[in-house]
Amino acid sequence: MLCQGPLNVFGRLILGRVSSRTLSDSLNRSIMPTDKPCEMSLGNNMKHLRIRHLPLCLCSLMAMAQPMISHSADMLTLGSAGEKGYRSSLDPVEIHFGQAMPADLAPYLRLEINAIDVTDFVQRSDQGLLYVPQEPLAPGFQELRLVAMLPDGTIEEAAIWTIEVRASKTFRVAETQGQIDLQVTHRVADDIDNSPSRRTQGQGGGTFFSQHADGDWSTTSRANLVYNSQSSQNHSGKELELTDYQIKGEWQRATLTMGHQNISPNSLVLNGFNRRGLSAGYTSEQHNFQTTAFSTRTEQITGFNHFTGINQSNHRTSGAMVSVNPFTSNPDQLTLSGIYLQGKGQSEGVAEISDATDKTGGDAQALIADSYLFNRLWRMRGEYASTSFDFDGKGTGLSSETDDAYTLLLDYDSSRANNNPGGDSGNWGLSLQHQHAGPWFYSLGNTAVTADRETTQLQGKYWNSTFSIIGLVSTGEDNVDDDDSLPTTAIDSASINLMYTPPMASVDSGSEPPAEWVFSNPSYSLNWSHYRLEQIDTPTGFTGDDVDSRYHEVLLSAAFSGNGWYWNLSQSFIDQDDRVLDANDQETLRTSLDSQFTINEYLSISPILQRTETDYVNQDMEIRSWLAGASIDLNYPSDWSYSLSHTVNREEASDDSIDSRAALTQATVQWRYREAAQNRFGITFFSNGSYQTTEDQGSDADDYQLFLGINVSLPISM
Amino acid sequence: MGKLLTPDLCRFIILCLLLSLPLTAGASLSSGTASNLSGARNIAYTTQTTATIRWSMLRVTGGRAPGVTVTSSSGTFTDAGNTIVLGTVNKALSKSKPISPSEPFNFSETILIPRDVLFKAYKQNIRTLYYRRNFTDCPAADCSQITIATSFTLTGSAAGVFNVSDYRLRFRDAPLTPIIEQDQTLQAEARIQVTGTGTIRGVWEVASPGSTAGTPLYQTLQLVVRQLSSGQETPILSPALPARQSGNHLVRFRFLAPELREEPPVLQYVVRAVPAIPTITLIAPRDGSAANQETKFQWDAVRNANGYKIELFDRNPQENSYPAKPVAGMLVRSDANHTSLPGSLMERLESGRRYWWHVQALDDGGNIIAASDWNSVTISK
Repeated sequence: MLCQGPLNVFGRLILGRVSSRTLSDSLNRSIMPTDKPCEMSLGNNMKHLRIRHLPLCLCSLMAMAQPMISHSADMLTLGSAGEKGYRSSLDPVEIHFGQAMPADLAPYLRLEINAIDVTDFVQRSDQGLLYVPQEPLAPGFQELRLVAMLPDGTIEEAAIWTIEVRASKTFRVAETQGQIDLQVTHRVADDIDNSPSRRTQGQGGGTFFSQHADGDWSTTSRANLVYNSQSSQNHSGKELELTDYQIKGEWQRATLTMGHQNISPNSLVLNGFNRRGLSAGYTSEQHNFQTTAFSTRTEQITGFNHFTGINQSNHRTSGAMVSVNPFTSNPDQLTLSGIYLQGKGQSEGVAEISDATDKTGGDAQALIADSYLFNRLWRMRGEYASTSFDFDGKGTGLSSETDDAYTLLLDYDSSRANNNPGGDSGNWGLSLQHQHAGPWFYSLGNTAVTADRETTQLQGKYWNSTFSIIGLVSTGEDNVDDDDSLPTTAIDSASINLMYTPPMASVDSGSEPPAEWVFSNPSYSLNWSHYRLEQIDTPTGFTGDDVDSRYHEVLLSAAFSGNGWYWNLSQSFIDQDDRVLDANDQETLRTSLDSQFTINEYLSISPILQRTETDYVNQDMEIRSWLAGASIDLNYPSDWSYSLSHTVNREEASDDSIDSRAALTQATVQWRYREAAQNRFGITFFSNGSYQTTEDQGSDADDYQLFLGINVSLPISM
Repeated sequence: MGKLLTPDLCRFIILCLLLSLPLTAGASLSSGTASNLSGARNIAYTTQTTATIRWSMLRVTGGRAPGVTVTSSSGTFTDAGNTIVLGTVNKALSKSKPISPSEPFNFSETILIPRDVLFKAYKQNIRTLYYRRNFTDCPAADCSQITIATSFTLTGSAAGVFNVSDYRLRFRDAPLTPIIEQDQTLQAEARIQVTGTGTIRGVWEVASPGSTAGTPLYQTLQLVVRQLSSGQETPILSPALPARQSGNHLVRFRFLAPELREEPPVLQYVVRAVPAIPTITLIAPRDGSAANQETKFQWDAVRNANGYKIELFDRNPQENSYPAKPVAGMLVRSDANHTSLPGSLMERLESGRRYWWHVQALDDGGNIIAASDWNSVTISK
């Protein structure tokens, strides 16, 4: 039973069972019995509470302008918001003792706000408790919990209230935050090709966030902007770039979102589709019906142009999703979803290299049934999807091509059980998946699906707190339409991933932990994978190359860490055996050492050493690459910081076709003249420089640049 | 007779013939060849693919001619009979050099064979498609032209020659151009789809503000060697990107093999300065030790602190990109730089479970004026 009304204080329940007879009697007299269950909306943090409660509850309702009018006033009541009509983030919290409150209980009361015990700052009197917030309470609904810790060690929960903290009378939440950073840099010396003509450049960024809420509505908005006077470094080619933004409004169970969307229903036709556009969603009261309609830019974009993302019909993808849970008592038992989308445009956007064929487009639809059964241990999921796509452009050449795909999943995972003990006893899982995608299955909403492939995959896993193993076998074929003019290739793969982290030695709180040394806190892993391709059916007259190849990869790694340091060593071996085209045979060995050592609170060092060697075994040629370097960071005194890094990258081939070496040294000195604070500029002066030497097939070059600059930052909060 | 025609003698005769050609046949482009450097002719018929072609030809002329320019304005995908044009590559190739009958004109180009070309070929029952280029040395005197072609055979999606078909550069759990705080963890992610199966070599590189305000100089962060196969989009994660120095950084994954058909995309991220908060040193309990109701949580006192807030989380907040709420916590008066957890808070913690805790110092206004690093404890009741 959630007691609420047009109020700003929702006192939900007073519960208790005390071991002291006096207290028990007093409490019981003040508690009104009810036959309805008490709602314990304590959140996830409270799920392990083992405090005992009586099957009784009582609501303590506090009207906005009517302090302490409650039928629970006999014992404990929460003070009202005061004259201004609402409770702000720094308003004192008053708890008043009623007549039924046992006097000997008061000293044992402790106050928690959102699981933080604030009792040290609670002022006690005969009339009650007073807490003046030591840090502003966040706007919104906050949980107050009053607990009695009795001398015999018994812990009793005396009361829980949900209070509403408001930013103002108009808005429960009204917040605007942001930060602007701008760097002005002057190049004082250089000797480098293609340096920009302007010696003084500007760079920076701005982030803005605001939220407003009241009643059953809320709005949030955020935006990121980047400034770079070298506009070629921005994707939009403009000096000031709007990289992403989102404006979202929620009213009851409906949402409207403009800007960058996150539409990811994990479907064959729509997944990870984070584009700029508009969407609207609705969720039913029981959360058993959800629907979202969207219209977005097909391609990934940035900048102020195409602000809404939907202004060009040839670059627009629109659609809708509907999801229904027929069994409201157990929604996970079955979820039925339908998706439809229609799009025009390209699959290539900003920072992408893909198919840039113009004016392509088509539509796609999917039906999904997803079911968790038997205490969520088993999951069954099936999806059928079809697409119709015009690959050579709408209205030109050939017409749209229709194709379909489906996926079936049967999955068992012991960790999903509600009563799963986990920990050292371990968990295990097994999953079997079959997927088929026709050769012309293609959706602009999910371009990652591989067409013309039928795959069956079995995965098993076991893990506990120190050890995990995941094994996977997969078999599949292409040419799924059995076109007799094309060859068919079988694809088989297997992999095993092992990870072992020895348990940390149990250390009593009073004793010293074991001394750290270079191999402290180890973690080991082994990954092995095998991949095999074999042409199993060759059509008559086929003029291409046969396929028969095998690939193996083994990765071993060990990591060690301690207080302020870590290092890890890994080695991988890749064997590529092409039994048709010998020239493709390769053996690659890669060794890597990464580390960081924090010497003290001022100084840290991060060395790195990597080496790869690729042997083209039938071409009598090897390519070797080296990377070695280190960076040093020093912060001393507190307003000064220094960093120095040096890396050397070497690549050479045994036949001298590659012979290059590049060394880069970079240094920075920063002096913080004034610390930034809320609505106050922070100023930092800096100097940085870089020096690079390159040698490539006998041609050498030395380049350097030296800069002086000022960094201004302004955190904004309103 | 056969033994007299040794290979060297044959080469000499051919060279003499080539040298004598201009005297008899005039200037011309000849001996054109196209080599597919991608290693195989197979291309998956459903996925756009990349191929690297080397064009080679000789230009022979009479007399002592100066340099000449050989150009090709575009390439076309056709059937074997050159009667059906499936697509066009509008990319010009041009090279100028002195004429030598023994040193050919060589051009390399990496092309995309787009999905629409493959679709049209398949639908018109073309199983071997040709990529052709016309090369000309016009407007040189006695100019000529030559057409050279290379062929590709359509095959299933798994058997295509190994190449990058789709490449997307992103940041993990961050927008396209993120603005992060100093020392915040950020990783880039190269999402790669390939045709065929093979080994990719590349390097993660970053240009820091020490060069982006001028000419970006890229520092190598990591050498990458990975086996990739068609059938999945494989993410290759960068190491944690440098985030100490405030300003604009550039990051890219540069392919060494196989080659991309264009310059690799570059992403930008901005590191912004954050107010430096002094560090509180945690004294007890030691990191990783056990804790119970009697355990004293202790830290170094902070000058001007009005109070301390100790918070415990059930997940490591440093490893979670989303803000988490504390499972339990406590406000402590500034005259005490230690506390033990009361039973009411211990009830919120599971025995045998690991928790991460830290301490913040608050001033009179509730502002955080100092904070500790994170330590962990395992609760024992």
